[in-house]
Amino acid sequence: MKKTVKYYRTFTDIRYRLLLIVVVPAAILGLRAGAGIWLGSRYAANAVLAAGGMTEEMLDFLCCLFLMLFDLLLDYWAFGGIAVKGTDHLGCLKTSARGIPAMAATMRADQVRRLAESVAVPLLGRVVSGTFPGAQGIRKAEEIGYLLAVSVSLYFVSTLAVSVARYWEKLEAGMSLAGLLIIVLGIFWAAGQFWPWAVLAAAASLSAGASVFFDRKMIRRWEESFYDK
Amino acid sequence: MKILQNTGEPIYLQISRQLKEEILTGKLEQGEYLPSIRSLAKDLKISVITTMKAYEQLEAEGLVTGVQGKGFYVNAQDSQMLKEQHLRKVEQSLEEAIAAARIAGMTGQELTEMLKTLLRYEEEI
Amino acid sequence: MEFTSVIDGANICKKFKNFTLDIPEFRIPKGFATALVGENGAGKTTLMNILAGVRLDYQGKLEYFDEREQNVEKVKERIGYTAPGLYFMPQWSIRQVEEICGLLFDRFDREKFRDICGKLNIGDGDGKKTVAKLSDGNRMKLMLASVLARETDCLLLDEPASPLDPLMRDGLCQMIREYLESGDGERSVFFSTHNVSDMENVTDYCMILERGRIVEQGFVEELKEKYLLVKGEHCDAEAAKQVLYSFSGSSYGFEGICLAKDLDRLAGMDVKVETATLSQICVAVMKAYTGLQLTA
Repeated sequence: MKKTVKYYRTFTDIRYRLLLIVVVPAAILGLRAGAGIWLGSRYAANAVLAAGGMTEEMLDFLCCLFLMLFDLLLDYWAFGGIAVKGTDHLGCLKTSARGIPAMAATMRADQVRRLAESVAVPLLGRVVSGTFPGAQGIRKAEEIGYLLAVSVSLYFVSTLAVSVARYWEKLEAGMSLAGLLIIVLGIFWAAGQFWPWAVLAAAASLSAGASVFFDRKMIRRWEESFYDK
Repeated sequence: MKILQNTGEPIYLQISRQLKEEILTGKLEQGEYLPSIRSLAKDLKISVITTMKAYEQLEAEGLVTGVQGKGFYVNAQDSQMLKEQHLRKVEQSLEEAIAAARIAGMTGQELTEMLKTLLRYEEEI
Repeated sequence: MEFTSVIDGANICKKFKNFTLDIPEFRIPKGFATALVGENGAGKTTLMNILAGVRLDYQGKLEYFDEREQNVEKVKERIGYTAPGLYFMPQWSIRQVEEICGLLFDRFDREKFRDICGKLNIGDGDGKKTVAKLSDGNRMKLMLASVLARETDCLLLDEPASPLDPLMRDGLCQMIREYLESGDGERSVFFSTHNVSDMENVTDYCMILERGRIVEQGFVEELKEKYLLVKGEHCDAEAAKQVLYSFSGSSYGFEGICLAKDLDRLAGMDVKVETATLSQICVAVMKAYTGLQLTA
């Protein structure tokens, strides 16, 4: 565990970690709080929730959207080109027996960070804007279910975006992909409001599958670079 | 030590020649170790194999002995060689003196007398 | 001349599109600097990659450091390899490279690394500069710094001189000499080059690779006794051409490499015999094996 953290801290720039773990979430939550308060002052809290609470959910979606986009951008900065074929720039890692295991540990640590943030940010967003389910006592379980579904969907979509972007060295490709995936995220988000547990289950299995799939694929790419293809 | 690149004389020979001179003139004492082949190569900015060959050349001429793991040290033989070298020098100088005496018109007898006188002076000093 | 080897290879074989890398016996002498000379595309980089453990698809056996138990991790720890291109991620900073090397290798001296970076003026003393912003020469210097800051027993350098300017090439040769001296016969250097005259002053042993095969190898001093440079007059050109290993003539005379054993066949001709440079020997050998007839 300690080693993994050490690897993660060595392979990533301090600014990357600061931005992605502290600054971006803080900014998103800050805006969320501001928006929540502004909305709260325009409508009576009860009226908002009585109207189906649409605006809160839209804010949830926007939080997720921004997190995904920043994640993609910062990932390109930190790990861009890491899975490109013929990885000469991982040659340094190949000269040491520890190289590839260390890099693999780093990527996995990053996935854990991604999952943690995907869950924390939407949930904290609700806390910060004072609309966390249970605070009003209305539809508590289902709302939490919906939030979790959105969180895990965010993780899935983020993972997808970042993993595929790592295969292309150009940022533009990743961004175009992100555009598509925003729609996917939207679908999960919408569905999650009506069938939270089903969507949660689906997102969870897709996330697990994607994480494992891309992790294996990346390791295999690196190992393949020892051979001609 | 001077290494000349363009004389056509192989570098290793230049090195062994110059080291030989230092040994015969006593600049390098008997029992003294020569610098390691690698540090000499570093100082002269040449390849290790060249210094190695130079040392092997000296060893072949009997001037140094190579010891596994320690390097090359100067042989004790040089006192013999030094003597021989100086004997040759004496012979050369005497031949020069004889030639000059002939030109000056000195006889062999006069020359020998001069030598005896000079030797006596040297002993008195 | 007999020698102990630091790396021993047998039946190294790899097929390519146009040729096959085929080396039945391969020994790198210990305690010396060996040059692998060959044209571009002769297979040098592939061989270097195989030796460094960066490429695994080949047949044959390799033994390092005379150990009965060949442990990949231990062997890689003792080898310092530099690539012809770049093997750091472009977004890493020099400071990050220092930390990463410290992570990847046990015997990495960070103080020494910073020292060498300072001496070589990599990145103008700015540790935060990213690899992407460094020039080719500086990237090579960075790779060299990272291997020289470690305790290694064998350096494998693939085309180290190529991106360096003449002043730095000289510096590289001196670094190699210092490395050999520090090992006192236990450390070795193996480097590839397509231009051996740059590294001639530091080369002890030379291997000439031509289309995947080692066509000639030996200690430099022995090669210089085997291949002699001969210069002669125009009138003897035709006769000499039959004897010489490589020949080049003009209306002013001729010049070529003659095998020492053939020297007496030139008796009677007005020729001058000189020591050839390693570069001249390599060119002659490579020409002979490619059958290139650029000059009549």
